Amino acid sequence: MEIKEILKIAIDELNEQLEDDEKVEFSENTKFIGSNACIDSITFVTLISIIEELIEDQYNKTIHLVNEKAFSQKRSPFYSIETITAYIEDLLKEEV
Amino acid sequence: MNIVITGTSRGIGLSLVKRYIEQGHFIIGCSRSESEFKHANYQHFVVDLTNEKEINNFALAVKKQYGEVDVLINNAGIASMNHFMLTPLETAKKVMNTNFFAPFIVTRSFINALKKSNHPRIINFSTVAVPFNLDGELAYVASKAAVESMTKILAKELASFNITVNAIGPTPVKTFLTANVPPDKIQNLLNRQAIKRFGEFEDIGNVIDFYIKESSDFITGQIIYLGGVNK
Repeated sequence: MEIKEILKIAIDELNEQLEDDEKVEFSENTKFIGSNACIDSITFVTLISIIEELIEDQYNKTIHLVNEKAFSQKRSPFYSIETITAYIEDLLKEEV
Repeated sequence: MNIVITGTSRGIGLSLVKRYIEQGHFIIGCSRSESEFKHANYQHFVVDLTNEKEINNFALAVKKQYGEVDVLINNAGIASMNHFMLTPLETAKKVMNTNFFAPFIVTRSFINALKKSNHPRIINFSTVAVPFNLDGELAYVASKAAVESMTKILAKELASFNITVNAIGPTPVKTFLTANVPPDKIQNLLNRQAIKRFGEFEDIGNVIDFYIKESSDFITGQIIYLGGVNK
């Protein structure tokens, strides 16, 4: 399964836990952090946890998305769907 | 229930394995070496708890095999008894790695498996040496004080996942950890307790039984000391 598909499933799963006016759109314009972020920090933690679990199930690998690598990058990898996808693909390559 | 216990090769960890098998649960244990204990309801993993990768693989294997974990007991620990001036930095780091960073990583790795349980529980181990601010055990006490803070903060941060996080602070118990402590030092410690005797495995199991009961859903962020010790 492609990482982007996993993110789509993760956001669907997250939306099941959110009120109607809080639901997250799966779009290239969706921002997860910064002043225009569509979710608060607790919801962000929940999303990260769902993504990690889906990757564990799909790839049989444990990765911790929030690690030193994430903090060391100039631009946060958690900015958008695109950046998260690229970041996770990188992490999985490193795991091989 | 599926119960994961770290540090099960001997002492308190092994006693908890036997206790919860007797109560009809399935136990997954780990230690640095193979276990001599064998039982149909026990599976042992050899894991170096200072190695994040090994811990991740351990958690992944448990999740694949058993799906959910209901209780995680972070029992593994080491002691260090020395005056500050006689404690090498490497010793302090080793104590912190095993007593604080190991449960930190283990807990992180088992969150997804715990989330699948209807009544997920995390139990950590502190010690009465923390409220005593016991001199001569700086590294050990500092590592366990960190475990207490972790327990209280995780209780808040994991509450949204319905996971309760509590700790037990045993008095001295007759195990390998206390075997080399001079008798007069142990007696001085026991004298500071309201009830002046060694703790038994049964005393520890009793507190953990309470924490892991289904009806303890509303008990989290607590540290229970044995022997009538208070902070």
